[in-house]
Amino acid sequence: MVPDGSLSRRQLLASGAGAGALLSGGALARRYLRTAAADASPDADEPSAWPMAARDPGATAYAPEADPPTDGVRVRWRCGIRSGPDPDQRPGPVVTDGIVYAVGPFGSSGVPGSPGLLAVSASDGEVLAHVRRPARTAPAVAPARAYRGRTVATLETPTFDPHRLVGFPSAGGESSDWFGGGEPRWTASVDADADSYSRTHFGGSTAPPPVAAGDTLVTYFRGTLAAVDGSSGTVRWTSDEGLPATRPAVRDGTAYVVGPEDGVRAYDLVTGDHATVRERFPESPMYLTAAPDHLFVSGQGWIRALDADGEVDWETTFEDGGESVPAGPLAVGDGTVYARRPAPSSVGGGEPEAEPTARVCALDAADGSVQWVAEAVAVASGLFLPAAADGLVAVPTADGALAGLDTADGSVLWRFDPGAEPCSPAAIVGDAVYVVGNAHLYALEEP
Amino acid sequence: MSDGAETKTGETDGGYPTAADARRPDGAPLTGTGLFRDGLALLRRNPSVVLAVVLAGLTVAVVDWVRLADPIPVAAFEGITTGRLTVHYGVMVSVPAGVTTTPSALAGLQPGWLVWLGALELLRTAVFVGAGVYAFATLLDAEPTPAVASRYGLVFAADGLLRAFAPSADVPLLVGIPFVALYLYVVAHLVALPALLVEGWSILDAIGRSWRLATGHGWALGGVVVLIGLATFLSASAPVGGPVLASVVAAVQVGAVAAFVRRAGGPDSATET
Repeated sequence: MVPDGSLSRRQLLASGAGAGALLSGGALARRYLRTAAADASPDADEPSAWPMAARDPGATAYAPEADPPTDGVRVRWRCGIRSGPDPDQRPGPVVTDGIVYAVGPFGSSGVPGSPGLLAVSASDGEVLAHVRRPARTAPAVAPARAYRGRTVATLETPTFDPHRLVGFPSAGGESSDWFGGGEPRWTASVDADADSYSRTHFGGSTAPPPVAAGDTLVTYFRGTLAAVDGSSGTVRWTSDEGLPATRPAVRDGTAYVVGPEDGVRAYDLVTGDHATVRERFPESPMYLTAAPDHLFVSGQGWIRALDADGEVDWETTFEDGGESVPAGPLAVGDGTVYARRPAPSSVGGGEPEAEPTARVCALDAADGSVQWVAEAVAVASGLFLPAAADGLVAVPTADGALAGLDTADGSVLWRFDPGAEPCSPAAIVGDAVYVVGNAHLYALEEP
Repeated sequence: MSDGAETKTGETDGGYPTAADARRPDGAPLTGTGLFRDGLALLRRNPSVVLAVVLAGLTVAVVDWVRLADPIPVAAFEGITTGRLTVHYGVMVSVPAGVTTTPSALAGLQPGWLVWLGALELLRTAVFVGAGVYAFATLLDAEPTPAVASRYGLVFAADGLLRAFAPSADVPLLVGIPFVALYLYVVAHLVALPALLVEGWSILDAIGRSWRLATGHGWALGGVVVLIGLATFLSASAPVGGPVLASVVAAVQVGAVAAFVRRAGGPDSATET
């Protein structure tokens, strides 16, 4: 017998009610999930961590709680790290939860081959996990709400494919997946990344590294600024136009970035709404540092300190011998700004073809007055990113070493020169300094 | 039904009818077009079946929508945007989820979120098991007992796992053709499986009977599989409401399968064993 039955009014009503309940329940669940995400308080600043390039969301590169080596250094441990072919880029390591994460040196000229992403115990140098990925910046370690461990995010920048942020589970504990196939927890990218863009080198990378602010990762996909959920990898929002890609500086839920016309913009981390902080600077800004009292903006040979209203509190310009070097990236802490300035003209020899050499200088963060210039050390160009702590500023030098300078007067406290290949920027955590150099990751301590 | 006598000519050693010469009462041979026509006629007379399957599709769409807001990574169904065309035919009637969770995203999940994920996956499975059992029971005049629902659910889950973890590889066309042919051959012979489970057959008997019912109707059933599979894939590729659109195709699949079983399988038949 062939069944036959038209819809009854009761069936229709029940179906309508069911569909309504489904949609309402879904909307309520989404609302709750989003509210919970917004209310999730960002992790307090970890005193004993350096979880991203330049240490914190504001890019201060200053570790106030650290007790770094000042009376010389010796190697506590070292372990090999895979390099890509013909490496000329060297991002610095990051440290969190007693684990050091580092990307091996790699080549910037499109040479195929991937460096290693390595996780090492900070205490004894034991390798906890490693994977070979085309990572192109220092990792950023962010909390992940749904997981027991954090997310370690690295930016991959293939030449022709869309750029992507890749999130791995933090090493150790339950998350041993790194050791297997190296499958990431998530991969984030955007449909249409801006193809008209410029980007500024930062701390040994040709692309700005991702920034972890609470459970949000702020990064650039080519010229598109994006906020990515550290747990799910969901792209929360993107900028509606291409921007010059520089390392964002995040403070109090706001990401400061260089705007499209040499100005500075502020993006709300939650909503992606933006406001203009400064319409335009006379010269292109290159680096931003968000300290509690000032937003420092620096470019080729200049620094400006903006107050909370975006007004210039002080500014300084370095002019020596006609040479010009970027003043940043800066390190800011304990009332001092550590910057880069041109060497006196006598050092460069005054010859036009001579490579500009630069020196580290310390400025008073309150008024920009020069406290000292470390004349004895020429600092690296592409690798420059100072790491500061109580009594120590560590900087890669032009001759490939890592130099420890006294924060009081800029005198050289120690030099670490591991060999043929140059040192990366450093990370200072606890009583140790971590650095990648000569195809190894080193932990340095006071003798 | 009158075709009960006709199937005797195709009986095998196992006693299952092959239904090789199944015909409509008017004597028309079984074709893919005829199955769709008969299936749509069944659905027209039983619109509650369409409603049930579409409500299940809506549930899948809502689960997808919620999953996009939770903190667990998802992989989106890319569909036609990848530039590929896929025959997405599920033997156990279902729709492709808009978002799924990759195994690598499960490592280290907090227990609460693992429960949340499991509950949503269970909901997705349960609604389509319920809709499938209701739909086939209605169209085949069968009794949807708890045992039937359990067996149906078990096979549904096994089918889902098989498809989720099935290996895949990019191979040249000529290399891939034999695999596609094998896939179509197997799936076409299992087309009747969900309907037979609802009729009360045990899992193994339902598989055996489905295989034998399909014997001799490979081209017709292969056509149904390809058309339904392509339509499911294309409708699920819609950027908004893909699972709801795909559920309409799933309803057509239910109708076509029920029409096939009604014509080839005889009136009842779990009792035949």
